[in-house]
Amino acid sequence: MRRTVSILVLPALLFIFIFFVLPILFLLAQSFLDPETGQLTLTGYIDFFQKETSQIIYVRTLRLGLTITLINIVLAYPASYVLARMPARRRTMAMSLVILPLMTNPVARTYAWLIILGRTGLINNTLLGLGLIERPERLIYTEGAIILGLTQLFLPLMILSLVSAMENIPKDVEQAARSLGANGITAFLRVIVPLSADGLVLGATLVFTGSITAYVTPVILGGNRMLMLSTLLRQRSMMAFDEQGATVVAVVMIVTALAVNLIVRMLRPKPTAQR
Amino acid sequence: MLKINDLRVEYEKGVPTLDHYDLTVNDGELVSLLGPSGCGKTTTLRAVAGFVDTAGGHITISERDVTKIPPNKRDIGLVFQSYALFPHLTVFQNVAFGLRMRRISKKDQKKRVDEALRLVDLEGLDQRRPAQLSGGQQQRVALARAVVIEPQLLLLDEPLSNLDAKLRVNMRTEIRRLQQRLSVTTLYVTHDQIEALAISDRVVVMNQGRIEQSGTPEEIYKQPQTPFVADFMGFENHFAGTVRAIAADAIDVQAADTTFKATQVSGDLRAGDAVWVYFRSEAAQLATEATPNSLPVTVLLRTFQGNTIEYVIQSDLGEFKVRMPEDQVRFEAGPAYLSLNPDSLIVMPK
Repeated sequence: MRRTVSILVLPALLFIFIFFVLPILFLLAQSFLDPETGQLTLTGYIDFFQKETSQIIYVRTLRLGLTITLINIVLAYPASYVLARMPARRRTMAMSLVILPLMTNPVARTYAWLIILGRTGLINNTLLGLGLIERPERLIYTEGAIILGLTQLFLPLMILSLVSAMENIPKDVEQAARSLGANGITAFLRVIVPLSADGLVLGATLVFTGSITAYVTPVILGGNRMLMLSTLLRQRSMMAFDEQGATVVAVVMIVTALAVNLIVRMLRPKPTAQR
Repeated sequence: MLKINDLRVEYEKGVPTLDHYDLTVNDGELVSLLGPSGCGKTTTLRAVAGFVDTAGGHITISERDVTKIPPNKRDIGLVFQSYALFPHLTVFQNVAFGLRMRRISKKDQKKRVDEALRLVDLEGLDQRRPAQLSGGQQQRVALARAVVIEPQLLLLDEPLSNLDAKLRVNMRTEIRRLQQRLSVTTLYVTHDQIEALAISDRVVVMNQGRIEQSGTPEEIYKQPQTPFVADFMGFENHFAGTVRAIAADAIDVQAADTTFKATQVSGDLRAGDAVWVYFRSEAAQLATEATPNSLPVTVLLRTFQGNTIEYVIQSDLGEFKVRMPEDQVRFEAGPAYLSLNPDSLIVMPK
């Protein structure tokens, strides 16, 4: 029995090993090798963490990831609650609307932001037309633009995670809290939120790691002016041809994402012991 | 005291689930709403709790009109069929929840929770999580959580339906004992006749959003006033007849070629009225010879049921079931007489 099972997972494991684990291991190795001498060295990492520009980019990436995650939580929680409490049929319909943005092409979707935020975009034209500003404001290539784009990109993921957790909270439990004297908000905070913590952890992890590794959105909305780790990686490898520098950025990005996953998993409330 | 006046509830606009609904539960009284699913009993309870919008009428708890007041300000204790415990909290925290909401001091919380847990025999389990408890224990926690806040009104929504038969009987007794000890005004919803009869001061039988009959358990069991209540309370047999004569203590009903005397009458009847006559299968007797109030029948089937024997019989008035003690003379398939005691026949307008 056990043997058949391991044979069954073998092809998938092999595939992942050859095309995912091996390349990452090469990447890791390369980041520690001096490109000229082939000697083991830490200069790549020392450079990365000592240079002010990469410091700024690293901190910005983390800060943006955190901001986007928090905004997503705040936006998604009330919406998810309403969705989870809808009758099944209406919820199915509403959920397909929620995931609609995920079905559209990411490049097209991000370019749509240019139409809104560009120099001659919707917002600037409106403000100019109303005479509120005299010349176009720079809205694109800002942190704000990246936050907007990534929040919009990941909101469906957050909502999906929260709704699937909240669906399983019986209405009775919430009503029990109400009957015991909790008003709507207290019942939400003391019952709904703790009982949907699993969905929150899942959603937050997806959004955060997604945000710090996202590529298309920062390229189009951040450009070269507002670099994040992913766009810095591209710049190092494709433009500066600094292979080692690029691998260092890649490793930092992967390790950061893994570390966040690990920390969140450790902080997450222990599931209640089942009988 | 709970007072419901002229209540109307609509889940769908213009289609009332309850209409012109009146109900009073006196101080310290336990009233159960009894009826099949869809009869409106749960809707009534949820309207009282404040989870269902009312389309008209008033709900008053202890002289306070709560019709437009949210559930958290109604001062009620609510026990659900599903227990509805907070899975992320310990037993102690579950029971203390209502006290916390009322900003009772930590010290008093502890005292009152301990007392409530002692009342339901759960001492020592206060640090467990709901998932670590049996169904019966969970329902006790739910009960403790509802009464610890000393509510003006206790509402129980089919609290025993998720328990197995034996536990159900025990918990039933315990709920009743607890209710009497605290003398808390209680509204109890159930679809189980025996449960309602055993636990209540008064039983209110509901059907299609209306109250069919309200009375003490004995009245409901012995003197149903409508065909629905008679059916629901286990009167298995009935036949149609016509009132022939009315005397002070009895009524004559003619059905087929027989005239029956009956003493239990519901409603105003006059000679010539069409009526239903109901009787229980265990209140009838089979006999070998005709007696007053008897009817020739044919025994079709005899089945052994432990301490009783059940007969299926055929007569001009239809098919009946008769149940007789196991130690009495047994009848074989074939002709016999069905003898009906006037006191066991209930006559009601058709």
